[in-house]
Amino acid sequence: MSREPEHHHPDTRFELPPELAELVAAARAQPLPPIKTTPEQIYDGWRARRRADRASWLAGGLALAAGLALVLLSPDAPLSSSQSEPAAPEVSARVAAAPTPERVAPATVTPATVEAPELPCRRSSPRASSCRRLSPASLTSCACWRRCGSSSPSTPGRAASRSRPATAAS
Amino acid sequence: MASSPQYPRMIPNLGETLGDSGNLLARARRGERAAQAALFHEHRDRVARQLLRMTGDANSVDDLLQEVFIAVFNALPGFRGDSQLETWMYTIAANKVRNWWDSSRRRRRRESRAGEREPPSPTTPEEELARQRHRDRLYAALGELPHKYREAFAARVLEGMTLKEASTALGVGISTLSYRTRKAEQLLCEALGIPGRKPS
Repeated sequence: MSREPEHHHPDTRFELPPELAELVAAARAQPLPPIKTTPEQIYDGWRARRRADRASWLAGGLALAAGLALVLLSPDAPLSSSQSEPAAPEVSARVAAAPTPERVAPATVTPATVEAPELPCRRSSPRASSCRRLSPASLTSCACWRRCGSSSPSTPGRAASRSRPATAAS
Repeated sequence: MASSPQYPRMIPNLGETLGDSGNLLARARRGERAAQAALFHEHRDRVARQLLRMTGDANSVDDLLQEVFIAVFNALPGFRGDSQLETWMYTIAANKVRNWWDSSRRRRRRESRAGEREPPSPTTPEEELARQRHRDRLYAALGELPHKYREAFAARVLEGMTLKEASTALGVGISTLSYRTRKAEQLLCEALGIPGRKPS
């Protein structure tokens, strides 16, 4: 966008072309309509606006405080369910309470993986996700990868696909 | 600030206004109902006239007036008195009108696409009808101008402010305002098919 030119103009009244001046005169002659707005309406509107503003500030502040608390109080946040260790006993208990055909299959998978012999992790990291950075050959001996690879009882296919490269490598 | 003789029309009795209603302003700032009502009554007509001249739409004046005064009372605690109250309110009103033009332009485009423009009332007298046509023509063309040109034209030509008044109210330099007004005039003449003024 080009810069507007800086020129000094004398403060003279505008002399418009006659036709434009006619339109402007018609606009200036427009009578003020009767004002129906009352001070009470303004006051009520102002109070409602102030309440809404305060509520939104409060909500924003609370959200910020909650976010900060979450970050500050738990620096080592637990992993998400897909990466963390399975809550095997809890799932098993629920399955035991209501053994439906859909839940029987994952439940049978979970004990098998939990009972698998654990080998020491080479990275000595408690986070299962770090296993993914290991070489395929070392995955076979990493206990937490095994846990992680079969951690999702509801998606056994995913667990199988994760272990595929390791199997191929071995 | 003492009353300034160069603002005789826009800001009548400014010294009195600030001197006498300083207390009123403080009370309104604290949210006192009676003080806000007094301020509203004091400035209502001037703001309404400004809104009417800037929009050309008498039906929108009431709604805009409410919006302006609610915004004024909301922002009143932040008003430090650097500028005059009238100038400050003019700026708030100009911002509201700017939003109104945006939504109004969108609405009019929708309407014109759908061909739903209402014919003028048949009961209008002929002279008033002609004036109404003039106004419609002018504001239709004004609505197509960029905000800065429309505001400059409205302040200088429709409101009849001096360069200094308009420059203070719109927060732009005098020479910039002068340029914008001329440019607005030129664009309006082009849009309306009016032969423009010959350059002197």
